Amino acid sequence: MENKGVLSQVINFVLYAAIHILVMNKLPLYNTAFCYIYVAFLILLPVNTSRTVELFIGFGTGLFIDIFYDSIGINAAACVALAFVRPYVIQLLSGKHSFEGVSRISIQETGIQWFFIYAGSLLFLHHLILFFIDTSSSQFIFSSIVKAFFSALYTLVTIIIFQYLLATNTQRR
Amino acid sequence: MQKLFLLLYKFKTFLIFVVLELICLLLIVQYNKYQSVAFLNSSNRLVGTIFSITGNIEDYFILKSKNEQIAQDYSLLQNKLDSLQKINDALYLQSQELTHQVSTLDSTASSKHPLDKFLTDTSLSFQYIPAKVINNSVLHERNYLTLNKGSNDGIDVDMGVICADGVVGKVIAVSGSFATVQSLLHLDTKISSKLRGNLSTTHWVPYDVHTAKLDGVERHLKIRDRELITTSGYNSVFPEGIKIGEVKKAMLESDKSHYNIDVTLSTDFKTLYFVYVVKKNKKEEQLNLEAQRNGK
Repeated sequence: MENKGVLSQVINFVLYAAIHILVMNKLPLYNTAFCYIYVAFLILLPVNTSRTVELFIGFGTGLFIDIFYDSIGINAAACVALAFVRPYVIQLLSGKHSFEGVSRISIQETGIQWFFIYAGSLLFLHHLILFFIDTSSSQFIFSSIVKAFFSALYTLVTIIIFQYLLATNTQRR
Repeated sequence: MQKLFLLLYKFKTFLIFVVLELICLLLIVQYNKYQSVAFLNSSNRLVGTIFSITGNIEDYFILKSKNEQIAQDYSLLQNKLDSLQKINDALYLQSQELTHQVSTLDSTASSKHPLDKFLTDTSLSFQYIPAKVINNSVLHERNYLTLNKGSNDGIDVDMGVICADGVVGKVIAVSGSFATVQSLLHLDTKISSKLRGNLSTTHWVPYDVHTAKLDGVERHLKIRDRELITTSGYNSVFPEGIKIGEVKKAMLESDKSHYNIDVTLSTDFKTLYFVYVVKKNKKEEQLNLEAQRNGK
Protein backbone atom coordinates (compact mmCIF):
# COMPACT_ATOMS: atom_id res chain seq x y z
CA MET A 1 0.00 0.00 0.00
CA GLU A 2 2.77 2.37 1.04
CA ASN A 3 4.82 1.53 -2.05
CA LYS A 4 1.83 1.98 -4.29
CA GLY A 5 1.34 5.48 -2.87
CA VAL A 6 4.96 6.42 -3.50
CA LEU A 7 4.81 5.04 -7.02
CA SER A 8 1.69 7.02 -7.87
CA GLN A 9 3.39 10.19 -6.55
CA VAL A 10 6.44 9.50 -8.72
CA ILE A 11 4.17 9.10 -11.72
CA ASN A 12 2.44 12.36 -10.76
CA PHE A 13 5.79 14.12 -10.58
CA VAL A 14 6.97 12.86 -13.96
CA LEU A 15 3.61 13.70 -15.51
CA TYR A 16 3.38 17.28 -14.24
CA ALA A 17 7.08 18.01 -14.78
CA ALA A 18 6.81 16.72 -18.36
CA ILE A 19 3.69 18.78 -19.08
CA HIS A 20 5.44 21.82 -17.66
CA ILE A 21 8.73 21.42 -19.52
CA LEU A 22 7.37 20.16 -22.84
CA VAL A 23 4.18 22.16 -23.25
CA MET A 24 3.08 24.77 -20.72
CA ASN A 25 6.42 26.53 -20.39
CA LYS A 26 6.22 27.48 -24.06
CA LEU A 27 2.79 29.06 -23.67
CA PRO A 28 3.06 32.31 -21.70
CA LEU A 29 0.10 34.65 -22.18
CA TYR A 30 0.80 38.26 -23.20
CA ASN A 31 4.25 38.12 -21.53
CA THR A 32 2.54 38.43 -18.12
CA ALA A 33 0.93 35.12 -17.25
CA PHE A 34 3.17 32.06 -16.96
CA CYS A 35 1.88 28.59 -16.28
CA TYR A 36 3.91 26.74 -13.64
CA ILE A 37 1.87 23.58 -13.78
CA TYR A 38 4.58 21.47 -12.11
CA VAL A 39 3.50 23.07 -8.80
CA ALA A 40 0.34 20.93 -9.04
CA PHE A 41 2.47 17.98 -7.95
CA LEU A 42 3.31 19.70 -4.65
CA ILE A 43 -0.21 20.97 -4.09
CA LEU A 44 -1.72 17.53 -4.64
CA LEU A 45 0.65 15.64 -2.31
CA PRO A 46 -1.24 13.53 0.25
CA VAL A 47 -2.29 15.44 3.36
CA ASN A 48 -0.57 13.00 5.68
CA THR A 49 2.88 13.44 4.12
CA SER A 50 5.51 14.01 6.80
CA ARG A 51 6.41 17.70 6.92
CA THR A 52 10.14 17.10 6.74
CA VAL A 53 9.75 14.84 3.73
CA GLU A 54 7.50 17.42 2.12
CA LEU A 55 10.15 20.12 2.49
CA PHE A 56 12.77 17.94 0.81
CA ILE A 57 10.34 16.98 -1.95
CA GLY A 58 9.68 20.67 -2.55
CA PHE A 59 13.40 21.44 -2.65
CA GLY A 60 14.11 18.60 -5.07
CA THR A 61 11.24 19.46 -7.38
CA GLY A 62 12.20 23.11 -7.55
CA LEU A 63 15.84 22.31 -8.19
CA PHE A 64 14.93 19.86 -10.95
CA ILE A 65 12.88 22.51 -12.77
CA ASP A 66 15.60 25.12 -12.17
CA ILE A 67 18.20 23.05 -13.98
CA PHE A 68 16.11 23.24 -17.14
CA TYR A 69 15.92 27.01 -17.16
CA ASP A 70 19.35 27.97 -15.78
CA SER A 71 17.66 29.65 -12.82
CA ILE A 72 19.31 27.61 -10.06
CA GLY A 73 17.68 28.15 -6.67
CA ILE A 74 14.78 30.36 -7.71
CA ASN A 75 12.10 27.71 -8.21
CA ALA A 76 13.59 25.69 -5.34
CA ALA A 77 13.20 28.59 -2.89
CA ALA A 78 9.58 29.15 -3.92
CA CYS A 79 8.78 25.43 -3.69
CA VAL A 80 10.32 25.02 -0.22
CA ALA A 81 8.27 27.97 1.01
CA LEU A 82 5.14 26.43 -0.50
CA ALA A 83 5.87 23.06 1.12
CA PHE A 84 6.38 24.77 4.48
CA VAL A 85 3.14 26.78 4.34
CA ARG A 86 0.90 24.10 2.84
CA PRO A 87 0.04 22.21 6.08
CA TYR A 88 -0.97 25.49 7.75
CA VAL A 89 -3.19 26.43 4.82
CA ILE A 90 -4.84 23.01 4.95
CA GLN A 91 -5.36 23.36 8.71
CA LEU A 92 -6.77 26.85 8.36
CA LEU A 93 -9.13 26.05 5.50
CA SER A 94 -10.42 22.77 6.87
CA GLY A 95 -11.17 24.23 10.30
CA LYS A 96 -14.79 23.06 10.61
CA HIS A 97 -15.09 19.94 8.52
CA SER A 98 -11.97 17.99 9.33
CA PHE A 99 -9.96 16.19 6.70
CA GLU A 100 -8.97 13.20 8.73
CA GLY A 101 -10.77 10.84 6.43
CA VAL A 102 -9.44 12.50 3.31
CA SER A 103 -5.84 11.73 2.45
CA ARG A 104 -6.01 12.72 -1.17
CA ILE A 105 -6.56 16.28 -2.29
CA SER A 106 -8.63 16.56 -5.45
CA ILE A 107 -11.64 18.50 -6.64
CA GLN A 108 -13.79 15.38 -6.32
CA GLU A 109 -12.86 14.98 -2.66
CA THR A 110 -12.86 18.57 -1.49
CA GLY A 111 -15.27 20.38 -3.78
CA ILE A 112 -14.30 23.05 -6.28
CA GLN A 113 -14.75 26.02 -3.97
CA TRP A 114 -12.38 24.69 -1.33
CA PHE A 115 -9.89 23.62 -3.97
CA PHE A 116 -10.04 27.02 -5.68
CA ILE A 117 -9.19 28.90 -2.47
CA TYR A 118 -6.60 26.35 -1.33
CA ALA A 119 -4.72 26.03 -4.62
CA GLY A 120 -5.20 29.70 -5.49
CA SER A 121 -3.62 31.00 -2.29
CA LEU A 122 -0.68 28.57 -2.47
CA LEU A 123 -0.06 29.31 -6.14
CA PHE A 124 -0.15 33.06 -5.54
CA LEU A 125 2.38 32.69 -2.73
CA HIS A 126 4.64 30.48 -4.84
CA HIS A 127 4.51 32.80 -7.86
CA LEU A 128 5.00 35.90 -5.74
CA ILE A 129 8.23 34.50 -4.25
CA LEU A 130 9.32 33.31 -7.68
CA PHE A 131 8.86 36.67 -9.39
CA PHE A 132 10.28 38.65 -6.47
CA ILE A 133 13.50 36.64 -6.53
CA ASP A 134 13.63 36.66 -10.31
CA THR A 135 13.40 40.46 -10.56
CA SER A 136 16.28 41.94 -8.65
CA SER A 137 15.54 45.62 -9.26
CA SER A 138 12.90 47.31 -7.13
CA GLN A 139 11.36 49.23 -10.03
CA PHE A 140 9.56 46.07 -11.12
CA ILE A 141 7.87 45.24 -7.79
CA PHE A 142 4.43 46.25 -9.01
CA SER A 143 4.85 44.40 -12.29
CA SER A 144 5.91 41.23 -10.43
CA ILE A 145 2.80 41.37 -8.26
CA VAL A 146 0.66 41.70 -11.38
CA LYS A 147 2.58 38.87 -13.02
CA ALA A 148 2.19 36.66 -9.93
CA PHE A 149 -1.57 37.30 -9.80
CA PHE A 150 -2.27 36.51 -13.43
CA SER A 151 0.16 33.59 -13.48
CA ALA A 152 -1.55 32.10 -10.41
CA LEU A 153 -4.91 32.43 -12.15
CA TYR A 154 -3.56 30.86 -15.33
CA THR A 155 -1.91 27.97 -13.47
CA LEU A 156 -4.99 27.41 -11.33
CA VAL A 157 -7.30 27.13 -14.34
CA THR A 158 -4.87 24.74 -16.04
CA ILE A 159 -4.60 22.59 -12.91
CA ILE A 160 -8.39 22.40 -12.56
CA ILE A 161 -8.73 21.39 -16.23
CA PHE A 162 -6.11 18.66 -15.72
CA GLN A 163 -7.87 17.52 -12.54
CA TYR A 164 -11.06 16.89 -14.50
CA LEU A 165 -9.19 15.25 -17.36
CA LEU A 166 -7.29 12.86 -15.08
CA ALA A 167 -10.26 12.21 -12.79
CA THR A 168 -12.46 11.01 -15.63
CA ASN A 169 -9.65 8.70 -16.60
CA THR A 170 -9.51 7.06 -13.18
CA GLN A 171 -13.27 6.74 -13.03
CA ARG A 172 -13.34 4.92 -16.33
CA ARG A 173 -10.89 2.33 -15.09
CA MET B 1 21.94 19.73 26.70
CA GLN B 2 19.22 17.17 26.30
CA LYS B 3 16.65 19.91 26.59
CA LEU B 4 18.38 21.78 23.81
CA PHE B 5 18.18 18.77 21.54
CA LEU B 6 14.54 18.29 22.45
CA LEU B 7 13.88 21.91 21.61
CA LEU B 8 15.71 21.56 18.30
CA TYR B 9 13.72 18.42 17.55
CA LYS B 10 10.49 20.24 18.29
CA PHE B 11 11.32 22.91 15.76
CA LYS B 12 13.00 20.58 13.27
CA THR B 13 10.55 21.38 10.46
CA PHE B 14 11.17 25.06 10.81
CA LEU B 15 14.93 24.54 11.01
CA ILE B 16 14.96 22.37 7.90
CA PHE B 17 12.85 24.99 6.16
CA VAL B 18 15.34 27.72 7.05
CA VAL B 19 18.35 25.62 6.06
CA LEU B 20 16.84 24.69 2.69
CA GLU B 21 15.91 28.30 1.95
CA LEU B 22 19.46 29.37 2.82
CA ILE B 23 20.85 26.78 0.45
CA CYS B 24 18.54 28.13 -2.26
CA LEU B 25 19.66 31.71 -1.64
CA LEU B 26 23.29 30.63 -1.68
CA LEU B 27 22.72 28.90 -5.03
CA ILE B 28 21.00 31.99 -6.44
CA VAL B 29 23.64 34.43 -5.25
CA GLN B 30 26.59 32.26 -6.21
CA TYR B 31 25.19 30.96 -9.47
CA ASN B 32 28.04 32.38 -11.52
CA LYS B 33 30.45 30.20 -9.61
CA TYR B 34 28.40 27.08 -10.16
CA GLN B 35 28.04 27.52 -13.90
CA SER B 36 31.11 25.39 -14.38
CA VAL B 37 29.34 22.56 -12.56
CA ALA B 38 28.00 20.80 -15.60
CA PHE B 39 24.94 19.15 -14.09
CA LEU B 40 23.46 22.34 -12.67
CA ASN B 41 22.63 23.96 -16.00
CA SER B 42 20.80 23.29 -19.23
CA SER B 43 23.85 21.94 -21.07
CA ASN B 44 23.54 18.86 -18.85
CA ARG B 45 23.00 15.73 -20.92
CA LEU B 46 19.52 14.80 -19.71
CA VAL B 47 18.20 18.33 -20.11
CA GLY B 48 19.92 18.79 -23.45
CA THR B 49 18.53 15.55 -24.79
CA ILE B 50 14.98 16.44 -23.73
CA PHE B 51 15.30 19.89 -25.28
CA SER B 52 16.70 18.51 -28.51
CA ILE B 53 13.77 16.07 -28.76
CA THR B 54 11.20 18.83 -28.25
CA GLY B 55 13.21 21.02 -30.62
CA ASN B 56 13.03 18.32 -33.28
CA ILE B 57 9.24 18.17 -32.92
CA GLU B 58 8.91 21.95 -33.03
CA ASP B 59 11.04 22.00 -36.18
CA TYR B 60 8.15 20.60 -38.21
CA PHE B 61 5.98 23.57 -37.35
CA ILE B 62 8.50 26.25 -38.28
CA LEU B 63 10.46 24.63 -41.11
CA LYS B 64 8.78 26.65 -43.83
CA SER B 65 9.43 30.09 -42.39
CA LYS B 66 12.96 29.07 -41.39
CA ASN B 67 13.70 27.88 -44.92
CA GLU B 68 12.59 31.21 -46.31
CA GLN B 69 14.77 33.00 -43.79
CA ILE B 70 17.77 30.88 -44.68
CA ALA B 71 17.24 31.53 -48.39
CA GLN B 72 17.16 35.23 -47.64
CA ASP B 73 20.31 35.06 -45.51
CA TYR B 74 21.99 33.08 -48.26
CA SER B 75 21.21 35.60 -50.97
CA LEU B 76 22.43 38.38 -48.70
CA LEU B 77 25.70 36.55 -48.09
CA GLN B 78 26.06 35.77 -51.79
CA ASN B 79 25.71 39.46 -52.62
CA LYS B 80 28.27 40.35 -49.99
CA LEU B 81 30.62 37.67 -51.28
CA ASP B 82 30.31 38.95 -54.85
CA SER B 83 31.12 42.50 -53.90
CA LEU B 84 34.02 41.37 -51.69
CA GLN B 85 35.32 39.19 -54.52
CA LYS B 86 35.33 42.17 -56.85
CA ILE B 87 37.20 44.33 -54.34
CA ASN B 88 39.59 41.48 -53.65
CA ASP B 89 40.33 40.96 -57.35
CA ALA B 90 40.94 44.65 -57.85
CA LEU B 91 43.29 44.79 -54.86
CA TYR B 92 45.14 41.70 -55.99
CA LEU B 93 45.72 43.12 -59.47
CA GLN B 94 46.83 46.41 -58.01
CA SER B 95 49.28 44.80 -55.64
CA GLN B 96 50.61 42.57 -58.40
CA GLU B 97 51.29 45.66 -60.46
CA LEU B 98 53.01 47.29 -57.50
CA THR B 99 55.22 44.28 -56.75
CA HIS B 100 56.14 44.15 -60.39
CA GLN B 101 57.17 47.79 -60.24
CA VAL B 102 59.12 47.20 -57.04
CA SER B 103 60.89 44.14 -58.38
CA THR B 104 62.00 46.02 -61.47
CA LEU B 105 63.39 48.72 -59.20
CA ASP B 106 64.97 46.36 -56.67
CA SER B 107 66.17 43.05 -57.96
CA THR B 108 66.77 41.68 -54.47
CA ALA B 109 63.12 41.85 -53.46
CA SER B 110 61.64 38.46 -52.83
CA SER B 111 59.62 36.98 -55.60
CA LYS B 112 56.98 35.91 -53.16
CA HIS B 113 53.73 37.76 -53.50
CA PRO B 114 53.14 40.04 -50.47
CA LEU B 115 49.47 39.10 -50.27
CA ASP B 116 50.33 35.41 -50.00
CA LYS B 117 51.34 36.08 -46.45
CA PHE B 118 47.80 37.15 -45.57
CA LEU B 119 46.21 34.33 -47.49
CA THR B 120 48.08 31.70 -45.49
CA ASP B 121 48.26 33.54 -42.18
CA THR B 122 45.61 32.10 -39.89
CA SER B 123 46.69 33.90 -36.75
CA LEU B 124 43.64 36.14 -36.71
CA SER B 125 41.15 33.95 -38.45
CA PHE B 126 37.77 33.11 -36.99
CA GLN B 127 36.05 29.82 -37.30
CA TYR B 128 32.26 29.75 -37.23
CA ILE B 129 30.59 26.64 -35.80
CA PRO B 130 26.93 26.46 -36.82
CA ALA B 131 24.51 25.35 -34.10
CA LYS B 132 20.77 25.13 -33.54
CA VAL B 133 18.97 26.78 -30.63
CA ILE B 134 17.03 24.08 -28.79
CA ASN B 135 15.90 26.17 -25.83
CA ASN B 136 15.46 29.89 -25.57
CA SER B 137 14.03 32.37 -23.09
CA VAL B 138 13.45 36.10 -23.48
CA LEU B 139 10.96 36.92 -20.74
CA HIS B 140 13.24 36.85 -17.69
CA GLU B 141 15.87 39.22 -16.36
CA ARG B 142 18.53 36.64 -16.97
CA ASN B 143 17.95 34.82 -20.21
CA TYR B 144 19.83 31.79 -21.47
CA LEU B 145 19.88 29.69 -24.62
CA THR B 146 20.75 26.04 -25.05
CA LEU B 147 22.56 24.95 -28.23
CA ASN B 148 22.71 21.48 -29.75
CA LYS B 149 26.51 21.52 -30.09
CA GLY B 150 29.09 21.10 -27.35
CA SER B 151 32.75 20.53 -26.63
CA ASN B 152 32.80 17.60 -29.08
CA ASP B 153 32.24 20.13 -31.85
CA GLY B 154 34.98 22.44 -30.59
CA ILE B 155 32.80 24.77 -28.53
CA ASP B 156 34.30 26.08 -25.32
CA VAL B 157 33.36 28.43 -22.50
CA ASP B 158 33.64 32.18 -23.26
CA MET B 159 33.17 31.87 -27.00
CA GLY B 160 30.93 34.43 -28.67
CA VAL B 161 27.66 33.47 -30.33
CA ILE B 162 26.26 35.40 -33.30
CA CYS B 163 23.52 34.92 -35.87
CA ALA B 164 23.01 36.27 -39.38
CA ASP B 165 21.43 39.45 -37.98
CA GLY B 166 23.89 40.23 -35.20
CA VAL B 167 25.23 39.44 -31.75
CA VAL B 168 23.49 36.77 -29.63
CA GLY B 169 25.57 36.09 -26.50
CA LYS B 170 28.40 34.20 -24.89
CA VAL B 171 28.90 30.52 -24.04
CA ILE B 172 29.00 30.06 -20.26
CA ALA B 173 28.82 26.29 -19.84
CA VAL B 174 29.46 23.36 -22.10
CA SER B 175 29.04 19.59 -22.01
CA GLY B 176 29.92 16.96 -24.60
CA SER B 177 27.12 17.76 -27.01
CA PHE B 178 25.29 20.78 -25.58
CA ALA B 179 26.16 24.34 -24.63
CA THR B 180 24.49 26.96 -22.45
CA VAL B 181 24.67 30.53 -23.72
CA GLN B 182 24.21 33.69 -21.70
CA SER B 183 22.04 35.81 -23.96
CA LEU B 184 22.64 39.49 -24.66
CA LEU B 185 19.30 39.81 -22.85
CA HIS B 186 20.91 39.21 -19.45
CA LEU B 187 21.56 41.69 -16.65
CA ASP B 188 25.25 40.78 -16.45
CA THR B 189 26.05 40.85 -20.16
CA LYS B 190 28.24 43.70 -21.31
CA ILE B 191 29.50 43.90 -24.88
CA SER B 192 32.36 46.10 -25.98
CA SER B 193 30.98 48.06 -28.92
CA LYS B 194 31.82 50.75 -31.38
CA LEU B 195 29.76 53.67 -32.56
CA ARG B 196 31.48 55.36 -35.49
CA GLY B 197 34.87 54.35 -34.09
CA ASN B 198 34.10 55.38 -30.51
CA LEU B 199 34.51 52.69 -27.90
CA SER B 200 31.42 52.07 -25.77
CA THR B 201 29.57 49.32 -23.93
CA THR B 202 26.22 47.74 -24.73
CA HIS B 203 24.12 46.29 -21.93
CA TRP B 204 20.50 45.27 -21.56
CA VAL B 205 17.78 46.52 -19.24
CA PRO B 206 14.76 44.25 -18.68
CA TYR B 207 12.27 43.53 -20.20
CA ASP B 208 12.19 44.99 -23.69
CA VAL B 209 13.40 42.30 -26.08
CA HIS B 210 14.18 44.77 -28.86
CA THR B 211 16.04 47.49 -26.97
CA ALA B 212 19.36 47.79 -25.13
CA LYS B 213 21.41 50.66 -23.69
CA LEU B 214 24.74 52.02 -24.89
CA ASP B 215 27.14 53.52 -22.33
CA GLY B 216 30.29 55.56 -22.63
CA VAL B 217 29.65 57.75 -25.67
CA GLU B 218 30.97 61.21 -24.81
CA ARG B 219 28.80 64.27 -25.19
CA HIS B 220 30.95 66.16 -27.67
CA LEU B 221 29.96 63.72 -30.41
CA LYS B 222 27.01 64.39 -32.66
CA ILE B 223 24.84 61.30 -32.63
CA ARG B 224 22.28 60.78 -35.35
CA ASP B 225 19.34 58.41 -35.22
CA ARG B 226 19.75 55.00 -36.87
CA GLU B 227 23.54 55.07 -36.66
CA LEU B 228 25.09 51.62 -36.70
CA ILE B 229 26.58 50.03 -33.57
CA THR B 230 28.96 47.09 -33.99
CA THR B 231 31.25 44.98 -31.83
CA SER B 232 34.66 46.51 -31.22
CA GLY B 233 36.77 43.37 -31.47
CA TYR B 234 38.76 44.56 -28.45
CA ASN B 235 37.80 41.65 -26.30
CA SER B 236 38.44 38.22 -27.65
CA VAL B 237 34.81 37.07 -27.61
CA PHE B 238 33.49 38.64 -30.82
CA PRO B 239 35.24 39.53 -34.06
CA GLU B 240 35.26 43.19 -35.03
CA GLY B 241 32.32 44.66 -36.86
CA ILE B 242 29.50 42.26 -35.95
CA LYS B 243 26.26 44.21 -35.95
CA ILE B 244 24.64 44.89 -32.56
CA GLY B 245 21.96 47.39 -33.52
CA GLU B 246 21.09 50.96 -34.43
CA VAL B 247 20.71 54.11 -32.37
CA LYS B 248 17.03 54.47 -31.47
CA LYS B 249 17.22 57.58 -29.35
CA ALA B 250 20.17 59.53 -27.96
CA MET B 251 19.44 61.60 -24.88
CA LEU B 252 21.77 64.10 -23.29
CA GLU B 253 21.22 65.18 -19.71
CA SER B 254 22.78 68.51 -18.82
CA ASP B 255 24.88 67.25 -15.90
CA LYS B 256 26.20 64.06 -17.50
CA SER B 257 29.36 63.69 -19.53
CA HIS B 258 27.98 60.76 -21.47
CA TYR B 259 25.01 60.16 -23.69
CA ASN B 260 22.12 57.96 -22.62
CA ILE B 261 21.51 55.97 -25.80
CA ASP B 262 18.72 53.51 -26.58
CA VAL B 263 19.72 50.85 -29.09
CA THR B 264 17.36 48.94 -31.36
CA LEU B 265 18.85 45.43 -31.37
CA SER B 266 19.30 43.92 -34.81
CA THR B 267 18.89 40.34 -33.57
CA ASP B 268 15.34 39.11 -33.08
CA PHE B 269 15.81 36.97 -29.97
CA LYS B 270 12.26 35.62 -30.08
CA THR B 271 12.80 33.80 -33.37
CA LEU B 272 16.42 32.68 -32.99
CA TYR B 273 17.04 29.37 -34.71
CA PHE B 274 20.45 29.05 -36.37
CA VAL B 275 23.39 30.64 -34.60
CA TYR B 276 27.16 30.54 -35.08
CA VAL B 277 29.67 30.05 -32.32
CA VAL B 278 32.77 32.13 -32.94
CA LYS B 279 36.04 30.33 -32.41
CA LYS B 280 39.05 32.60 -32.51
CA ASN B 281 42.08 30.55 -33.37
CA LYS B 282 44.71 32.49 -31.48
CA LYS B 283 42.51 33.54 -28.61
CA GLU B 284 44.61 31.87 -25.94
CA GLU B 285 47.67 33.70 -27.09
CA GLN B 286 45.95 37.07 -26.95
CA LEU B 287 44.56 36.36 -23.49
CA ASN B 288 47.93 35.20 -22.19
CA LEU B 289 49.59 38.28 -23.56
CA GLU B 290 46.99 40.54 -21.97
CA ALA B 291 47.29 38.70 -18.66
CA GLN B 292 51.06 39.06 -18.77
CA ARG B 293 50.82 42.76 -19.44
CA ASN B 294 48.29 43.21 -16.65
CA GLY B 295 50.53 41.24 -14.31
CA LYS B 296 53.48 43.53 -14.78
